[in-house]
Amino acid sequence: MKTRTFAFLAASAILLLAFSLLSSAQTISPAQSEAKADKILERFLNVTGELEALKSQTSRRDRGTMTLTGLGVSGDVEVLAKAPNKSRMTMKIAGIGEIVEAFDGSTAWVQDPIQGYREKTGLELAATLRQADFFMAANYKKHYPKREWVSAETLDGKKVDKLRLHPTEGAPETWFLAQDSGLLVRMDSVSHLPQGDIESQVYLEDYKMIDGTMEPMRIRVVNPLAPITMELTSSEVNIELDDSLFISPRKKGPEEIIIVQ
Amino acid sequence: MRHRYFIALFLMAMAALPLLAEASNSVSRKTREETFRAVWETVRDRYYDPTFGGLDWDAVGREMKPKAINAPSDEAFYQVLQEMVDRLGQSHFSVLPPFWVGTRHLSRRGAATAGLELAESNGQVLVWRMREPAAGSKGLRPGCALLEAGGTSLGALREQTLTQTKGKAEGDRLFREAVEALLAGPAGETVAVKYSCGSAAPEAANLPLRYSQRERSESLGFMPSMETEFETKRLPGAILSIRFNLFVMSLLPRIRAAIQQAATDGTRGIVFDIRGNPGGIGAMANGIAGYLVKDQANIGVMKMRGAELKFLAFPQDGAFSGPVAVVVDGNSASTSEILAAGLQEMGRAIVVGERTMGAALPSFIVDLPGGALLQFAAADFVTPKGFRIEGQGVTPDIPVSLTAETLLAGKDAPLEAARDALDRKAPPATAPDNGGFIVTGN
Repeated sequence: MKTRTFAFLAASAILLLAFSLLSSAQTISPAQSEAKADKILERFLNVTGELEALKSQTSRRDRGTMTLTGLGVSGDVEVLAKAPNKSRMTMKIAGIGEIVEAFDGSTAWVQDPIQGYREKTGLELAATLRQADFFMAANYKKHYPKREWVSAETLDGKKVDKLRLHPTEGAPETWFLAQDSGLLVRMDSVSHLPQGDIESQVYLEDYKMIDGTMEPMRIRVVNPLAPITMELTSSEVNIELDDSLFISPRKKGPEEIIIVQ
Repeated sequence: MRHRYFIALFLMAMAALPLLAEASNSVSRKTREETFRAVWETVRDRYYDPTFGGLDWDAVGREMKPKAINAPSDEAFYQVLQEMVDRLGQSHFSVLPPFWVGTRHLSRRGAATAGLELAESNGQVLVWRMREPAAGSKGLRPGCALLEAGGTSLGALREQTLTQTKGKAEGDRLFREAVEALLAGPAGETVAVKYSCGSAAPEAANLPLRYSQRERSESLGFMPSMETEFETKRLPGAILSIRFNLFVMSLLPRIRAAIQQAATDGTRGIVFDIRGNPGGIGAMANGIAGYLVKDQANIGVMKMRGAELKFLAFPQDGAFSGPVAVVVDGNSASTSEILAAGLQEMGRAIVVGERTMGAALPSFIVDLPGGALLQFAAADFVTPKGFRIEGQGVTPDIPVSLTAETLLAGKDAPLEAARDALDRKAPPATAPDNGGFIVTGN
């Protein structure tokens, strides 16, 4: 439940939802379903070490690369997170420029070299508020007040538990957690963008231990536009991050309002 | 069948690549099979229309596969692939062979050309703009009719292309490409032309072929660097003309700066001159429109398999609120059409000139086994009211074409019509008009 993963998903036009109606597969009561889902999620958080790590972390900086598979488009990614709820993701894409998506605790904004500046509203803003919570792992019940265990399935040859998580606002997400490792291996979701809703499947792969937590070194996103792959190259915690990094350019003063390259 | 036009979008320099004419047979059977499968499956899985317009794509694959695999040369192999995607009858489908891709670096300076920009009017090929001084051209100037190029009669060439193609649009396109090819070649050589200017007797000249010194865009993915043009011109009546030849990132800051400047310097109206602009980065239409709207506006809808995305213009600081015109012609395509149609439909711009090409499908370029590339239409595009631009084009509110008479008189009739329309529509000037000169360009 790292901010990095969520920030990448959001900025890649892929946030969360899923699902088709699979209620017929559910044979346990809602209370039992929720308890089972929570048990699986808490195992995931313990396996990754996130709950323990959060006790001593206040900021994080992750860096990596991103590729639009098959299109020859690639770039660098940096995700910043600062407790309690600031986040910033920067993608530098060759031939396009720098795309910034950030939340300063009150305003969620996007600045891209083609379409300019905009502020998030509605469901898109709600998703950002959720994702920017530095302590998401500890607060998941607040952000997803309804959680369901849906079924046990086989995904790519591995047995997984399929959960449906209902956020306070927006469409539910479907998470697939491996039964053997306890790790989250796939999320199906819908990004609620002003341009429209985009369904996507997010694959979290190649987990490795970094700074005391298990992290997916590769995140693959499959969506109707183009497959996207992010590879994590470095991760640092408890670094100095100035609040100005997260503030909307429109709050910084009129001389910085005009957004050009 | 407008796909070939988009090869020009990537390179505009085919005539400078002699390797294309050399037959070869180096692509292995295995690579051919893999390439064929990649093209066929990409269309099967990612082409926006899962019905393939009524085409039986499986049957097309069965028919074309043996032809492709057994083609007598590499060139013939890729030609079969092109024919296969042509069956869809849509724009933005191109198979770009590896020998073409491999020679992209040769074109980084651009093709060596005679430096003429041409227009067609009343069956004549007119010199529209002269991009470079044509030494020894003895009076050749905008408005002159080109009669021959490289020893080929353009009248005969037109007859030939029309009889060899199915429709006028396809014939026109082939004719334009052929004429452009005749006026390009190895740098340092010359091309012989014959022309007549008004009622004067025909003249002959040898025009030197030179590389352009223009700036080039950055490459984006598999979209290569291309020659760019940007020019702003102050027209009488405090109307600003902004002309650019491609929708590429390197031009966007200049376009924005020109709009923002116009918003503060008393400019009464803006003309976007995108004649001959074949498109580029689709989202730039939204980005430019964002500097022309006060509220979030929808300029169209991209329809993919499994998703529909609006092309939204997000209002930007420094937006221009005065009247706007967009000048287009039959070579304005893709993003040009999206911008023109979107602004026209929302009532934000008057469209002036000629009907656009009607080739406005959002596309991707992906790599293929063996080093080739495939451009394919990943989405359909309609305006917010549901008008489909593909195959129809954008109809101007004020139809105007270039003519020999007006060009010879030093006039650009479509641009002047746009200026006049804005002059009538815009509020009176509040600042002195210093119009009538070029401000910037490259």
